[in-house]
Amino acid sequence: MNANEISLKTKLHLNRIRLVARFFKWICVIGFGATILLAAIALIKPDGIFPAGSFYSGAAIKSDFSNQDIKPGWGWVSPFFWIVWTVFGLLEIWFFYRLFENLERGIIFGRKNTFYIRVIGCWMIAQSLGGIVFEFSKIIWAKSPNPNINIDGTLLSGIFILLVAWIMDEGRKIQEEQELTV
Amino acid sequence: MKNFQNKAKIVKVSKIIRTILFAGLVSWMVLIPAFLAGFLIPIIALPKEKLYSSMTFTMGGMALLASFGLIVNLKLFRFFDRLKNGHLFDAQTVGYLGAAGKWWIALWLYQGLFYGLGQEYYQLKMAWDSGGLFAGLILIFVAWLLKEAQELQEEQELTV
Repeated sequence: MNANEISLKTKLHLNRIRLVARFFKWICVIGFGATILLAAIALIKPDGIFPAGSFYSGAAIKSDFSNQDIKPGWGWVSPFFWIVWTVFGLLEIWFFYRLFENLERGIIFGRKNTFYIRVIGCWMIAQSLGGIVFEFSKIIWAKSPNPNINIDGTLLSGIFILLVAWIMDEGRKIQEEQELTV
Repeated sequence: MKNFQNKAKIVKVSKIIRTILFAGLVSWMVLIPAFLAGFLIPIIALPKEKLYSSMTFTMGGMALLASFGLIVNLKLFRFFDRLKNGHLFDAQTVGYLGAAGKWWIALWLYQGLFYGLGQEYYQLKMAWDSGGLFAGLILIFVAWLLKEAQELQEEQELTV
């Protein structure tokens, strides 16, 4: 394979990454809209979309819980968790969006990309731990607390993404070294 | 110094994930023969009129599903094993990650078929979501990014 062929192959590869990044970017836009819409419906009409007003966030945390199971005087808990999870979910989608936007521009090993990936990883770990806190908090505000604590895919995905961030950081260093050499 | 710290972190976390994946491999290896036994023993031992077709379908389908799960797990295990050994950007490492993604998508497609048939013919209630598809796509995408880094490293080695 000569230099031109290698260059063409690299260009094709980069174009493929850009195309898929654009696809994921649009998925983020849809996710952003859907999360806001679901949160709005849940706040306005708690039992409107999910059976018995179960808490649900488009981002990750799920828990089957009825609004009727909340102790009297703790009614604010349902909208509070919805808002917290929606903000959490939206920020996560925002970082994903920025990352895919950079990738679409052809910036693969940028310093900001590493930062975004790292934040997403930490965010997902925090989200998973937040789920555990939520389950424990049922002891305070639920009529019949039945904490359902499990380590879900979000925690492992977060750790994996953090690992990817470190690997990408290594890639960035190689690229910087390469630019300096050239 | 920072470079060394990053690599040390990657090796350490890979070691942990590899251990978790090893436990997963062991559980698949226990589950597959169990499902196969659940599929084959009634066929061999029971008379035809006492055979529950829904049970046979579920056990056979689950055995195949577990086999797909085993392959995905194995590819990921090998990927993290290479990371643990410090091979960040080489063709084999990238290949394992890409293969894991492709097998995950295959698993997702099979899941759809299996759950669909189960619901249609045996009224089995199984939920099929898009999680597997996205996980597979993300793995393939990350493999592409790593391939870029691999090419950069090869180029760098040639330059030096």
